[in-house]
Amino acid sequence: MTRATEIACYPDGPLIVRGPVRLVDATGTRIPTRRTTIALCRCGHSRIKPFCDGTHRTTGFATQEEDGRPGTARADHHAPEPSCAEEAG
Amino acid sequence: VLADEYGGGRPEYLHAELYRQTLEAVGLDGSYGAYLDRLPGVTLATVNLMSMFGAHARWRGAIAGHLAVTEMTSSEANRRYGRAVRRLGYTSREATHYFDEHVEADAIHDVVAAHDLAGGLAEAEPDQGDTVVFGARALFLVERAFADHLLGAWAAGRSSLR
Repeated sequence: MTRATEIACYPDGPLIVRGPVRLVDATGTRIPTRRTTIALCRCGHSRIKPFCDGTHRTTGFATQEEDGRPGTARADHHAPEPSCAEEAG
Repeated sequence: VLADEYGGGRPEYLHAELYRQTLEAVGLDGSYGAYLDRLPGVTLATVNLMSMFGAHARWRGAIAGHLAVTEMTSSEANRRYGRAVRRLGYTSREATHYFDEHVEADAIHDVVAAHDLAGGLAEAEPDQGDTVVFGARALFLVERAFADHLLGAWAAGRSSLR
């Protein structure tokens, strides 16, 4: 018996996908990943989309829980403000 | 988290192996412990703390809190490291792979370590909750001392090494 692939919604963070999935872009072309557990961006600011790169921590991204269920993203989080040092790179 | 650290079972993706490649790609000695004798105590304390927590069952809460904070602060740091080595002209895959790998891997480890591992332990063993927080705060303390030493040496124009 195989377990169903699971998508977990973490508060103020990404969607964690555990189990085999076929990840493709809009044309159906495969997006390579060699992990069995992946984190998908849901704050919209990752630099390695569709994967999460932790940027949600610096953008104030927050999810709201309603009725004990993981909520959807609030719209009022801020886009990252690139610092001078970052841009100089 | 362990599966990723061990390359998902593929030796060429072992994180220690990726780091050896990075060291050699930037002209450093990649052999095990090559620079150990040049590190001051304040630097070694950062890994000693982790080993001490990890080696004793009574500190299981502390190692969970330590790991959670390590992973929670790792993706962004590695993104910057990756950009820094590229800025210095080391653009080969060997030079950058270790850092790029950790941007993606530690974004996963972040939530797994914080919620499932540290949070799960505190939920299962509520009396470990204080120890989880202690481990996290101890990491900040020793990392701060290390960072002060490193940046102090940098500002003074000298090496942080012995």
